[in-house]
Amino acid sequence: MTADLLTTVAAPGVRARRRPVTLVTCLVILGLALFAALFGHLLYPSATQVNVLQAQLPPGSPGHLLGTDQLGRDIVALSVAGTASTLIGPLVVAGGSMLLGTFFGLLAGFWQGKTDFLLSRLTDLLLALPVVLLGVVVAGIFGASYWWTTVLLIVVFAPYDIRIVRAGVIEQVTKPYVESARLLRLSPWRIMLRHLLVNLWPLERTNFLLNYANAIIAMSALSFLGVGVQQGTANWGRQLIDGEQILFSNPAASIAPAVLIIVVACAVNLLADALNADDRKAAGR
Amino acid sequence: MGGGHLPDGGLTEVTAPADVASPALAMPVRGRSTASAVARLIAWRVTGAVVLLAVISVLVFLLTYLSPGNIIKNITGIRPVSPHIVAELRAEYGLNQPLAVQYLHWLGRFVTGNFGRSIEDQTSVSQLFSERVGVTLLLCGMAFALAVVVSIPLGVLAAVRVGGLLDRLISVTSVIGLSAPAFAVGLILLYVFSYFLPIFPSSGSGQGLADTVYHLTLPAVTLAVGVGAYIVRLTRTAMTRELRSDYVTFARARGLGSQRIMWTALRNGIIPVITTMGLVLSFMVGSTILVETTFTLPGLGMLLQSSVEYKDFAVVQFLTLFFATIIVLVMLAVDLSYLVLSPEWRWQLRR
Amino acid sequence: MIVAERAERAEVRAESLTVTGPAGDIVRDLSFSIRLGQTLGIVGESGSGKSLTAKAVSGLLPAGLHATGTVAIAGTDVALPGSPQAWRKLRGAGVTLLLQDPFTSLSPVHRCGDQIAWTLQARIGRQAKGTRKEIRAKVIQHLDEVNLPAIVARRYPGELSGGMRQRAAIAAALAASPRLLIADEPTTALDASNQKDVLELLASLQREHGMAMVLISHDLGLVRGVTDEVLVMYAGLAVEQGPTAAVLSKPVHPYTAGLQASDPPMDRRLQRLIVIPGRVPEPGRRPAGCSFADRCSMASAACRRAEPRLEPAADGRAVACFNSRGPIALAAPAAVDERWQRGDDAPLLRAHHVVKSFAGQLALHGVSIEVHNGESVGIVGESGSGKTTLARCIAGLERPDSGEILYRGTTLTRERRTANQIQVVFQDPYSALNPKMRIGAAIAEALRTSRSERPRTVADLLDMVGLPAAFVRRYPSELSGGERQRVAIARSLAPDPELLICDESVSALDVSVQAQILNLLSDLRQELGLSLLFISHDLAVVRQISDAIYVIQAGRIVESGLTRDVLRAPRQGYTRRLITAVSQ
Repeated sequence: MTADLLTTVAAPGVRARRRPVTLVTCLVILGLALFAALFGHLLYPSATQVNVLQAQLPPGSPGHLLGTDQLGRDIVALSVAGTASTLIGPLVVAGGSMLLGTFFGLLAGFWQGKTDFLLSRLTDLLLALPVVLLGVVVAGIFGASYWWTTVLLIVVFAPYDIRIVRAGVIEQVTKPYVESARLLRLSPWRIMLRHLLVNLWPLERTNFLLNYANAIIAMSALSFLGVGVQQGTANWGRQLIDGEQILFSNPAASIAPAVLIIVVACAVNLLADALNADDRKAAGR
Repeated sequence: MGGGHLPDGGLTEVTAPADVASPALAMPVRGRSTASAVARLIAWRVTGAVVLLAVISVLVFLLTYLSPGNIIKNITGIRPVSPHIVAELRAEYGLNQPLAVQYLHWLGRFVTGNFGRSIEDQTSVSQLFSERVGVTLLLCGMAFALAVVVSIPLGVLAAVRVGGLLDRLISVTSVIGLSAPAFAVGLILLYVFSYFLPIFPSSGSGQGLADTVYHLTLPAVTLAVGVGAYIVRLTRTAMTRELRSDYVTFARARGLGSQRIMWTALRNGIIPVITTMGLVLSFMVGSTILVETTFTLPGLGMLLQSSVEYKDFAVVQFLTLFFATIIVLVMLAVDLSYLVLSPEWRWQLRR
Repeated sequence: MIVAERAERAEVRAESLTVTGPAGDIVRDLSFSIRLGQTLGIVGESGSGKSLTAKAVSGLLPAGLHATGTVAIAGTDVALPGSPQAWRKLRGAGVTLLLQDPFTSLSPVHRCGDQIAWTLQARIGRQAKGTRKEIRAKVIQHLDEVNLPAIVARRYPGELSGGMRQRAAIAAALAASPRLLIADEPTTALDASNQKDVLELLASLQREHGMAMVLISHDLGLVRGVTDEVLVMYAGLAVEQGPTAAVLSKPVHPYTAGLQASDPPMDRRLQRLIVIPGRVPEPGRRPAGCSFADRCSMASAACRRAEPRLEPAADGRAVACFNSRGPIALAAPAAVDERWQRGDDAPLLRAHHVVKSFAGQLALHGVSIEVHNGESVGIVGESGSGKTTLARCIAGLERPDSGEILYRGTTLTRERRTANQIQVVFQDPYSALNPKMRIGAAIAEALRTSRSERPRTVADLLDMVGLPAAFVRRYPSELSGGERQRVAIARSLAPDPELLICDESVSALDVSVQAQILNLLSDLRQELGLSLLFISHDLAVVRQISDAIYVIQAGRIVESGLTRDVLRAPRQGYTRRLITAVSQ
């Protein structure tokens, strides 16, 4: 198997041509998702209304392209209406943990010392308690609402961000340009904002996107386990748990939201990859 | 994926944070080091693990106190209880004593193997545990083996063909795997392989080993998707870096065979893969809750989930602590495996 | 017929070798031949394409680069880029490439002996593979050949010093018994005292094995005495090619002459170093006609119209130049009288018994130095000697464990430091500037820290370092290494510092650029009355810029005095070793 492996090299041009396609596809998917999240409730104002007479219609039924669930709710309408609660909470999670991560990561990386030590131990602690386990136990026991679950996830995600930003800062602070700024006696805040932050931007952006994808997955996982989203709310994770019970009479009830979660999370992950690749190309020049 | 959060760990080459995923040897042990340096490192790591577990146990203990509602209610569940029983319970649990004393009592019971009783099933927690642990262990074991056996070769292959069609195919597939929550994959597999092509059972864990393995195949595949995708990316990144390194160029320049070069690179590239196994396990524990729920498997994950629903505190506390202990121990083992994997320690010992 | 064939078999040839990258040709139409038992030196500055030539000739070009032309080694012809099968047959016993960096060229997790054994096994083949004992004996034999003890076979590369690692790598390369050994800057990553040994070792092994060798270097002086022929490359083209002695003693091409003249001498200080102005053009941006025309004092209109080809010239060499027909004798600049005396005034800076350790290991064992007003003081030592740590302690980038740093008689504490006291120019020009900040903004930011009543402008500073004012709008990535170092100097001068520390500030630069920066520094010193603390491993460079030097070894000052005296009559063996290593 390995006989010829080392000698094959890909043509460098192929990748460059393909990348915009990936990038554009991702952006289109995310654009549609954003539109559905913002205006979904206007398109289908009665998506969550129960209609027992039309329960469990199979896909392709008249007026219901993907059929209905056991409560007679149209799957298409429910999925569109569920976009907001599935995608906005995670956006807040990713944004919040990025802000916390940037702030504490800059401080820890720039001054190091004790803060640093404590933060590392905190990450160890959270590593030993997986997100879903922590979410199920804490949010489950306390009966946390949607927004409290969001806050919980910010707390759980932030230590990773702090560590990533901190590692990035530590990599930068030993570079001559930062040391020169120190020798010029510029204020630490100026060095952090004007010098470090701009150079950490690719790192932050990548990390934000990866966190966003992870948060979408984590939050729908919690919804799937009945945590964080109230019964009757339009939400993809919630749709999955409801739809699983009628998997064999209307598979679309659970497969549709499953595919939606995968597609959106994929788009976010691929966007991160594509932007990274562009960065690398720019750096190579 | 599904279990939640795997930090990127330098997967995207632009980030490459030094110590996010790898267990950076936090303590400085360079310098005039001899065998005592290794001993110090081990002692430091073990102490760290013990402290970590102590902190987790405090948090787990506090769960009963911080949760909304009456403590007695939390202990007894939703059944009506007479004042007499309440008093008895207060005495038994030492609820009139200071919190610290109560914690020590609780911990003492825990350490001596008295994990309490489940209010829901009215059986001892240890019995519930021993009934359920087999399924979860087998599930995780199968998934892990599957993920490693498939993913590492795929990651190596992608690295060898980096930029090529095969690499792109593997990379995109791994992104999909990484983006797919376990329950979503599970439902799709369930529909396809239990209904559309009824090859596998849709629920239950079966009788006897062969039947159990058969029942656990779909769940294990589901669990392996996320883990596998992560290992593929990790391996690809590590191997790409190794294959571009000087020692590979020099090996090729000396006319070494491709196979020899691949093994050399793999021996170097496998180190970061192994050191992230703690994360992989942490991820699997999260995912197993989802997978067991999806396939209604009577494992620990489902037990945890239902215990939370019924506020069955004894069980929740035990399982949380159990999972945390396992993860901490594996991370400790992975940290110490660095001693074996990196030759640096051997020569430090020799001096 | 048979004779002709044997002659051909005894030869290594490259014909019309061209390497093309995404931006255009990097190496163009290069041809050379070496007989077995002979050595060819390929010399050029960064961007000349010398390393890619080595990679192309061994079939190891990185992805994205394409080679054409022919390579013939010991009777096997390969039409480039060559099939993987063809190269697999040829690499090893045909051609082997030794890399520059001994720290990365061996696998860190495998023992040195195993890695040498792999080469043996690859050569002998699996069937004829000897017993473990035989292989081990051969490995030890190969180690012995490079003057390493047998115990090294059981060591990991990380346990060995740089010099030993490079020897182990040489042993691994020679285990393949190559007809042609290409050594790509084999001594550049090593300390001065190791460089000479490794170079001599390579030369003697080449004679013993009767193989052909290509020695690639940025340093014309290095190939002297080791190579039979030399090929000088500029911007991807051969500009002068011929017997080493002839080319080095009587260069005909203006570039060769300039390259040689800009190398600073160690035996005297020159008034001004000869420089080649400008910078090496990048692939794809090379001018029409002769690539060197823009930097050449002999250039005429013809040079910009057509590209000169290699034509035979004096002493059996070939030169690619329209205007230069005979040897160029560049007027040697006048040597300066270094009669200089340290004043009795209180020193500007006094480091007293500075001790610094890292993770329990002492880097500085109580070092004391003085710098007086307007003085230029050099600190010389090998890597790991503590010279940079000392500089960083003085600049306030590290806090010494004990000892004092007095500036104008008062102890410098973190609070008492101001920007107009001490500034530093670092080694690596590529990370010296914030990549996301325009040049103008970077200098303006530094200017705001100036306490001078009549602060300079950004344009003033750019002018002082010899850069056009238009550079304010550029980003660092648009600048060459030398230009970036000029900007770094401008920025460090913005707050009007009294003492400028140059921490290996010219060692990452090409020789011709290095001379430009050295001239600039001595001009600035005179204009501004700056005091300089010049940290370097290169005694010849220090001779040109420093009045007094301290020689530092393993964290201790072992010798100090006037530069001229120390270099003329060194008292310590260590200093002598450094001197002989440079002037090999």
